[in-house]
Amino acid sequence: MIASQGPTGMKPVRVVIAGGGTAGWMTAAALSSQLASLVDVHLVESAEIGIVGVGEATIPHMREFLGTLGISERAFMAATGATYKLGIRFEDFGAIGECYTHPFGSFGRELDGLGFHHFHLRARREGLAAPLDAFSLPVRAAMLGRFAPPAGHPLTLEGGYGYAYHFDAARLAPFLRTFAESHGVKRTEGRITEVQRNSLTGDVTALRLEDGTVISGDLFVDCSGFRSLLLGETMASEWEDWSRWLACDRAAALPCAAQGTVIEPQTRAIAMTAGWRWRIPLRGRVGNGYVYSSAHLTDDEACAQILASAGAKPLADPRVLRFRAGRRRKSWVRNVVGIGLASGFLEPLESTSIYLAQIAIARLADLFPVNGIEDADRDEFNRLVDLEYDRIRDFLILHYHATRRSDSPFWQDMRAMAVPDSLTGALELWRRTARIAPHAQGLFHEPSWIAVLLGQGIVPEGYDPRADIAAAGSLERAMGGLAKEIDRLARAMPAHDEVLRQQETAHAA
Amino acid sequence: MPPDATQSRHMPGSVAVFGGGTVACLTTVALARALPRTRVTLVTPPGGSCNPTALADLAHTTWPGLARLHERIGIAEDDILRRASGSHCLGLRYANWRTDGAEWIIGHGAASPSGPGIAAALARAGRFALPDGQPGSPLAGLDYTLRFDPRAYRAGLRSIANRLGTTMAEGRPAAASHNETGAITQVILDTGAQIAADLFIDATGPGAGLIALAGQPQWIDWQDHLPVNRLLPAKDLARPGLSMLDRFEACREGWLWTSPGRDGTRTGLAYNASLTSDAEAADALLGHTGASPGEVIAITPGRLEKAFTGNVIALGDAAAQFEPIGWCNLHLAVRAIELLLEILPGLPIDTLEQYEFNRRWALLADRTRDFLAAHYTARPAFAAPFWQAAARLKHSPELILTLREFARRSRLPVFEEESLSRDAWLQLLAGNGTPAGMAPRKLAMGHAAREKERADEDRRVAAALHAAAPYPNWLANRLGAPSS
Ligand SMILES: Cc1cc2nc3c(=O)[nH]c(=O)nc-3n(C[C@H](O)[C@H](O)[C@H](O)COP(=O)(O)OP(=O)(O)OC[C@H]3O[C@@H](n4cnc5c(N)ncnc54)[C@H](O)[C@@H]3O)c2cc1C
Repeated sequence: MIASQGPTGMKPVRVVIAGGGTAGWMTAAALSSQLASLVDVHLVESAEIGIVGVGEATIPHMREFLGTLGISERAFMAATGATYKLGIRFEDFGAIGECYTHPFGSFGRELDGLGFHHFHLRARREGLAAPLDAFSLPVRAAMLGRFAPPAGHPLTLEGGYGYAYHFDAARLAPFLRTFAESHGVKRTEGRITEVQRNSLTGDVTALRLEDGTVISGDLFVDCSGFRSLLLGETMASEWEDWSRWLACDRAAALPCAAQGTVIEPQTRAIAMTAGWRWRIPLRGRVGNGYVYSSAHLTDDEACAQILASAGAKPLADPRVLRFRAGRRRKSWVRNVVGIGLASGFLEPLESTSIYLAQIAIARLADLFPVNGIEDADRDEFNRLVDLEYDRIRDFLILHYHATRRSDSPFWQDMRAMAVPDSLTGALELWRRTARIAPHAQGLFHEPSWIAVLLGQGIVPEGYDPRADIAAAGSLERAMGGLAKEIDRLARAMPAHDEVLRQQETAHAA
Repeated sequence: MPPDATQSRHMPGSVAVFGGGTVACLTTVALARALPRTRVTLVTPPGGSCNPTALADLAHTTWPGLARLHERIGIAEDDILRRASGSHCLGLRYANWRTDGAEWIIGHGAASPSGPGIAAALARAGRFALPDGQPGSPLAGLDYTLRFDPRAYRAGLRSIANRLGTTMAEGRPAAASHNETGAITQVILDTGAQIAADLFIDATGPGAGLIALAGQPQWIDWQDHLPVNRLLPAKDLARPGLSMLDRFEACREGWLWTSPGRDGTRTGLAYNASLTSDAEAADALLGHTGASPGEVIAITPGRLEKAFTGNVIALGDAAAQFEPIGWCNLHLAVRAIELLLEILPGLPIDTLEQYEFNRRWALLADRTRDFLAAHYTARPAFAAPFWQAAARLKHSPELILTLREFARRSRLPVFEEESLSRDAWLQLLAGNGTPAGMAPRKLAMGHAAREKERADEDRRVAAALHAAAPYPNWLANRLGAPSS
């Protein structure tokens, strides 16, 4: 029993990480700093193969990740050229010409335990209220190009939202590498050419590199990206394909020069005829990319369209990336744990990929097999990872399915597709009662669903009757007052680019 | 935007709550507040009496969640202190459950990573202070619950219901008329009176006399999970006391409860009727406590498969019955009332909404059951049939996972609904002797860092003790102060 002994005298678990992209170095940094003497971490990466090098937008959990590592926001932002993000602005998804924001925060205020959206639905019906956007401070701030971190109690308007970052995808891994190496992580450069296994147990025992180097270990973390070298190839963990719901399987990425000084504190997602494109404002440049379905659009057309629509000077030729939506049925098999793209892929519509890596790392640290791996450890890890994937999957499908667009075969297909039962149930409950079933685990809670559902025009047939209790006059006054207050608070924030400029000055000093 | 077809769903024009106990009265007040335009009727048994076998109604205390509900529906703690012999309780103390005879405490509020936690330390020292929300305060993680005289408490709730315009009626449900969808349109009482309503609440206690009229409710049996099926409360209250811990003591026949209060101390024996006869139980109660036996209460551990059927919602013992360790019976009812307030059904009742209520309530009920079942992983020093049977009880998959993860690395898996707090679970499992592994991150902290964590905790406890006052003085002060 490990309980009372402590780590003294215990041999550290030798962790070998295959791959040095964002996922690999996040894993190395977290395990080495949090599990300290329990682990001996060795990372292998190949400069020749390189990293995927996209993945620039995050969600607020990224801050938690940095926090547990003890990395300051300033240091991270300076090293990765990061900007702030208050949400995602979706354009043309529900119908061409319509837009909405999915902010990191909820709309309005609960009243007597009843969600704000019920009151808003009523006010809307009676023509009394401003659009939902007016009732979110992060949305207002983002629209005005302003930013301030939340301050004060989380139940107040000023303290009740979150924020995340946009950053340069090529710079995070090197930054984390410095951190991880300072915590004792060893690194070897080279191409993995052979995976050696124990013929009895099937466990991986070592990785052999092109130059003959053999790196052996107890636990292997596969961060090799889409190739899924250990989990997919060696362990043959079955692939669960989700492309029948998430049809996009290509992206044409295009970095562009920034225009003007305004740096928007939000990601833009703009629906296109065969998918959507992102616009991610960084310092000094803007990331663009068209995520599309190859069944509906050729690569050449996609590249031409992203060049035409980016509306700024390209800094390189468009680069086409290929992927498919789905995940490995088991992320942890024998002594191999897949993290990052090696374990599965959900497209960047809600910037969730890095989060999925983060959560897998946190669960691995929670369940870390100090005394040998038990089946139940793998089961629990896989259960928790599946849960995260499933919730995000349904939420992404919602963005495609909740549409009135019929202007292209792609959108016609999205509209007509049969969605997973879990999503059908959630949609039905919303349509009939304006409720979202809560869940304790996983991403995207009620406010996120409300933002997208209402934003894409899925207006419920009925809302909670308690919203009708207040007199129309007082409801209108309360709504008006709230919108005004939010607008005032947003206008009192400094401009986002001003905040960034000040940071740079402070950093230089 | 698409054409706007949104409608508010119809508010129930009338709700009838059946039952004479705490659960019925709390639900009535909650509904009367939430639905000011709805006609709420409280239908009690003759004389406003309460079903004497409904444990959620007999409860004179429960977990801190009750205070949250009180706040939400406008019930002042001061009134309970002054009018219902209210006093404060900081936790539960367990004696003789473990082979080594060691006692343990579940203190309300935050558990500490090492050692007893603030509430337990205060209770042991007989000192009390109100929680202090300021982060950094030694009293920040503290919580407490109230004890009260259930009869006076109920009377208080009824008078609030009265003030809110609730209609009062008396009688027992005898028959019902249904409409074409199978919903109950009116209930005919044994007095012949008729109670019509859109929505009915069955808080009538065991037997669920009302929901039975709504169809054939399925009962899920918990006898394989929980060993107690009889209670023998003492006939009379013993001398009042101000200890801030409820005591649960394992004995050969089962376990004994002792709960002090300002109106008297409640005691009783929980046992299994197939292993101990009622006569033996009476002897045992007398032998262990010196109290003379009151009326035996039979329990059928289990729950309704669906608490919400047709247009009837069962709450309290009508919906679930189980042994009263920690008086979780009232706690589950409180959680169910909160759920009802969250998913207040509009009309016509939507099957999906009903499904949601039933789904979440079932999760809450099952986790409550598992919390109780987890007590029985303790092994008392004495061999007795009750405890041999307890050692063979069934564990749900969720409980197996909980026990395993705790044993392996002191981790509590998260479930979609949780009835008791994680802090309570941690203290229960640490206390009852479930072997506890160490979390990898904590193991990695090293000895010195863990020692520092412990020293910090000791300092916090000392500061909390210092900030608190002896409870009798504190209470005298509070009661002496002009009512707020
Ligand atoms: C178009 C697109 C847009 C995206 N946008 C976002 C976004 O906005 N937000 C977000 O969170 N995520 C986004 N992602 C996902 C994000 O890019 C990835 O989650 C993240 O970069 C992690 O990648 P990785 O480390 O798993 O894989 P990679 O970056 O591919 O790293 C793989 C590593 O394995 C090494 N390797 C592979 N094979 C071998 C071998 N044989 N020998 C040695 N080393 C080997 C490589 O050298 C590399 O170091 C996006 C992804 C795509 C495709």
